[in-house]
Amino acid sequence: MGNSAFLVGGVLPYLAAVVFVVGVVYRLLTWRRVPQPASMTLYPTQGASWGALVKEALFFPSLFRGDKTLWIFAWSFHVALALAFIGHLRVATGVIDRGLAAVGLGAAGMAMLSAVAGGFAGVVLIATVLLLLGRRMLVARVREISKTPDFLALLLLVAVITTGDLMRFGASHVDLAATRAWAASLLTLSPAVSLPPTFLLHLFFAQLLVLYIAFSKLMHFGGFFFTFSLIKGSQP
Amino acid sequence: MAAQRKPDQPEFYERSTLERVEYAPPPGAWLRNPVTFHAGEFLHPAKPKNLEALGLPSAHAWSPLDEDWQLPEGWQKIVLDGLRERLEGSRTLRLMMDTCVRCGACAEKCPFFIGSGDPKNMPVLRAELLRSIYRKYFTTSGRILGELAGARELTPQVIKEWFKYFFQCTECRRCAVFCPYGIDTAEFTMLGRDLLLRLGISANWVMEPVANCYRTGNHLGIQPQGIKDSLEFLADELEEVTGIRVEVPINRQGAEILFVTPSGDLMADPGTYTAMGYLALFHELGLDYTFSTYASEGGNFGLFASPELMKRLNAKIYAEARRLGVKWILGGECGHMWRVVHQYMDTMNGPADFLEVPTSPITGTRFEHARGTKMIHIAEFTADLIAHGRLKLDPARNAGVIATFHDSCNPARAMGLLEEPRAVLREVCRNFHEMAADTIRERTLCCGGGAGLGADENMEVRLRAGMGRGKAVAQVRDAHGVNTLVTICAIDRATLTTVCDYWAPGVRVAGLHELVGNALVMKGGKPRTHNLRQEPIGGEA
Repeated sequence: MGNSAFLVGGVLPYLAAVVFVVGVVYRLLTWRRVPQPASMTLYPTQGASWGALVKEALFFPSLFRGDKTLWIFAWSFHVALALAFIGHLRVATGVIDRGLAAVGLGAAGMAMLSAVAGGFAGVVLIATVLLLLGRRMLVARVREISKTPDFLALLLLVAVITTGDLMRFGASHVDLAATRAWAASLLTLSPAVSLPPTFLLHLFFAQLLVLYIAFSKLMHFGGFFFTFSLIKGSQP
Repeated sequence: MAAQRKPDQPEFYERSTLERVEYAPPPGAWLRNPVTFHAGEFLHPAKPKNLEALGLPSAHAWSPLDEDWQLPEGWQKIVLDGLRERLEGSRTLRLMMDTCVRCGACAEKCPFFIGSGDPKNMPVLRAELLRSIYRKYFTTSGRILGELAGARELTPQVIKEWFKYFFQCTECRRCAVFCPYGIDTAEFTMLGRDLLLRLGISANWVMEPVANCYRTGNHLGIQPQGIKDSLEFLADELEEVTGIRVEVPINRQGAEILFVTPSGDLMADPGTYTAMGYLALFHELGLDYTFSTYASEGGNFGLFASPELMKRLNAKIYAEARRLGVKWILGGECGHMWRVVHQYMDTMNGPADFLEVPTSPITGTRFEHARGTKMIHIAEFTADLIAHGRLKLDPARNAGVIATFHDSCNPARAMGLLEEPRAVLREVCRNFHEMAADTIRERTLCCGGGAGLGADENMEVRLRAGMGRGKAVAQVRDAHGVNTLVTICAIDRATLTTVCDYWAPGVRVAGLHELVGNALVMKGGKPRTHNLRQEPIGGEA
């Protein structure tokens, strides 16, 4: 295997994992450590329940109330992202396949499910991320508030999704047996990287994105739970 | 005539000019566009004597129109030390620095942006004015990448920008309701003002009330004799209308309830009519209560200056409650007072263990939600009386009133006081029409003059920020003949009068308890022919 392939598939995964975990934990602990001297109630002031938290996390009702167009873009994007995330577990492990087989899904059915769900997510992701990018570039008001970090996050996503879609819809479909062998080799700390270039490119961008999370606004996935309980919940 | 009008008068401004808002941002990035000031859009600087009265540093004379604001020696360190102190002391602040994704959902929710189109009035950019400094000095990426990471140097230009835009925000928190993360621009505005104050930079319309309240117990600086005179005068007026002489207890030791209301209620129309409503209600209930000349201010302009000043002023209420030996505290119709009480009082000066959980002596209702602060809002108190059928009311006495209700930002969004005032209003007035749904309740629009912005010299800003509210009022005026805007906030009573005169002429502003006082059937006295404003009943407005 080439040196660059080994760097992307055999070294960077460890680095990305460490930076991600340490970075995110550090950010979360910082938020946890800082005291909250007052109760910061905001309507509804009775204090939000766990149900409301789950609802907010799954359906973004606050955004829905405020900006329906943005809600469609943002919500579809996040749902497709979640779908893609679940699908990607199959790249590393056969657990999902075995589970699906246990409930009677054959290889053909599985391929069909993968093509439909994965294809759907792949199309929605690239469409919504381009819409979000277009919104930042074309709507004057939003362009005014957008800074380099906002574009950087979106451009990284475009790169990750485009290379992913190339494998999904292009000629070089991914060989799950090969990727699972690679994932297993990573786990045993003896990385063996024998993967096609498109996959490595996709992996490269994905890892850049993962590295970037802890240092960026992408931390909103963690901050959300804090702000929600602080602002919409009732007690400090 | 027009030549004689000045920028501090509403008549100076053409409606059509204010209505023509340019929402397209000016060319150039906001980070680099210089900040400018023109008459009508900024508040007068705090007078040094007011800062000195409070023992605050760097009191000095300056003007927003000056090139050099005479910032004190080492001003950058003062600001950054202050920022560090706040970041380490407030989790919400820290989160709000880090979590925003700049989606822009807040932009057209801000009354100041709606009315001005100035991009820095978008809540997200108002916050970025501070975040850019936070990134530069407190984050690794900002230190290294600078402007690429949305960071910038702290320059005198930044200070000018802060003064301009943190005094073009009423901390109304409408943006926060729509933010997917609940990011609350009021937090940034409060932080920005707090940091500016450390440099001796603030608005006189904020600092004079704070200094007054610190010295005399109320924002207007009324001495104890003045309070007594005002209350006696209101009792005289009430007697004219009702034929009943009510007693006005002041500084009475051993009373059950300490009543604290904004001092504006005692001094200026239309607040005075609301105060007469209180006097009538308490007399009719035979309430064992007292006013205080020491805690003679329900409002707390310290909230608009810094946490320390807010705490100092708020402490007076508890100190007086302890001195007089009351059981609990009843608060008058006020807005931001309830942000202080509901969000800060309990952990700032409380819990007030020496007091008892507020319990209505009339209905026996225990207001458990106030078990920390021991203080409830009069709208809750009166709504409870009505729910128990303990008030005899004759809404026909408000027959000429066609009302709409303005939810004041703080009671609505910080406290959730949405139903109680409406429940009271429906019982005292037969004609009540709500404004458009996205302008009331938790989505209520701004009066444009809260948080220390209710001066005259910034009239353009007030009229612009009040445009949304004013037009919603004009809509119900045209559709239903609404002639009275009812509200439960003293600042609203003052600022919305200006807003309505300008945007919805023919609609006047009244406190809820003014209408309660009108409708309240009292034992004895004479048949009512006139309302509390001494106008013939049915012939209002």
